[in-house]
Amino acid sequence: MTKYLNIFKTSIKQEKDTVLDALMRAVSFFIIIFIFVQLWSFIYGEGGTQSVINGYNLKQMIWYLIITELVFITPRPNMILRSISDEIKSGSIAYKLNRPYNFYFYNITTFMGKSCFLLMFMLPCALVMGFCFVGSVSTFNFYQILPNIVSILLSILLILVLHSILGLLCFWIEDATPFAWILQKFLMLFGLFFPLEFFPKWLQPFVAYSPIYSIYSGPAKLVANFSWELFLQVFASQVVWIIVLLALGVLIYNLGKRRVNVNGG
Amino acid sequence: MAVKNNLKLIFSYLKLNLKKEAQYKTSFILKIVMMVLNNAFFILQWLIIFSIVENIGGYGLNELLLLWALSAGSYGVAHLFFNNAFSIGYLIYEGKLDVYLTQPKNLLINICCSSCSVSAIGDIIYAFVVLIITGAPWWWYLAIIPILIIGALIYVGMVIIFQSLCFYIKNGSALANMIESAITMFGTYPPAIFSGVAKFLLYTIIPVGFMIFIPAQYLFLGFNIWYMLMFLGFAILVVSLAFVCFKFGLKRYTSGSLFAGRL
Repeated sequence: MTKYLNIFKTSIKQEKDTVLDALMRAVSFFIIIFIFVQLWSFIYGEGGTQSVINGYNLKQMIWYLIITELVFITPRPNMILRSISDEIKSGSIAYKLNRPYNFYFYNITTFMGKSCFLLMFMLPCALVMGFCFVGSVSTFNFYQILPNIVSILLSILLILVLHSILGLLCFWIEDATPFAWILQKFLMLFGLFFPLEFFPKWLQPFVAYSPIYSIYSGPAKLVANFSWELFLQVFASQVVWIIVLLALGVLIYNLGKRRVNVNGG
Repeated sequence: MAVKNNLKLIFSYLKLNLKKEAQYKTSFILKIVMMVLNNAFFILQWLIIFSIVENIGGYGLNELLLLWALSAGSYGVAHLFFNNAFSIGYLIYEGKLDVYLTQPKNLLINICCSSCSVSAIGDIIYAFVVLIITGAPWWWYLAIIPILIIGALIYVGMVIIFQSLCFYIKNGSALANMIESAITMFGTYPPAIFSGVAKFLLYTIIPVGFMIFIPAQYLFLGFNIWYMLMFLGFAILVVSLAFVCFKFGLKRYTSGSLFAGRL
């Protein structure tokens, strides 16, 4: 465990050189939220007559979108996918197989470190945007900040675990990127863009018990409408999905590494 | 004659790049199909939104899909023909322009066309799939072709202008990448939701107003010759500016003394 903690710390230190990249991401984050604010203000204001849509008022909706977008933009999942798939395709994974760590856990820990560094920029940006665009939600309390941060960190970890599993598929396939596109669209549609309550009744249980709820809807709903019951529910679902997906990843990694052929040189 | 030669160069590059990419047939087809599906997912997003409101500023689902056709199509044409334009900043920063400087072709066109993105074919196909879904009249299928080409030229031109900043500042490509992603983000939302400063930006440095909103509004959904002439004029202006910015910036280029070849 200590070695993974050291890998985590090292990756945070390495990220200090990418401050400009973090700033640019913050600008992109602002642009996306700006579009969402314009769109939903139009829907709540002129376009729609209801002030509450599916249990969400405009403030709650914007906070929901800010948190889901924060979770979407911070982990940079394509980087972990590319890192794992490139090492498998190029064969350079061979250099890491004999090292005293698990290649799969190493990548997750490294990118978790990078994500935590980026989160230090993005989280204040998210808060500033939320307060400037719509102000705080009526149910907001300072004691909810810590549980909110915990659930955001766990959802980032879940995204990294999911994408690293896709990266491991490169033991068998040429390019996993197209699968990542589709996965990301599922995540966007059923979590990032809309809260659970916006979907038809028959679809809601499927989304609620999927990792998508643990990644996006759960943590975002916690910010928009916090309660300790909801926190425990979201926390439990996140922990369960992390354990299940990590185990699946280990299984795929153990099966896949048998396919590595090292020719020396 | 020069135009003919450059067009010949552009299409020769495309043929060569596609041949190279088609070596991995499964991956080639998968990328195209997945890109079509990837774009199609957003129809569901708008179906949910239009279940809440009837229209947004006069834009219903069909009009929204038209914006998607123009946006995905222009993006597709840009990345199919001029994909390397999006890497100019990197080439400048790494000193990798030398290999292009020695070749007897127009430098900027030579650089821009030397790579292509296979998934961009999926974007172009999607533009036509969307027209089928919306039940578009026959002339839309013809009219959209020049519109997508001109839209792509505006997009690539603006990216080159910002990528040329890399001749002057170390991390200029970060700004160019931001403009590039802003163009792709804004283009698929109804124009009515933007006003004030946002609207000004959409008709200047993030030119989706010209690329997408004007042709949608004043060619496909209605007709106004003056707006269409503005669209054409803006494309000529941006492309000319791109050539000028690149040419001026090039004077500051210093080689990385990198030994490289192009196979």
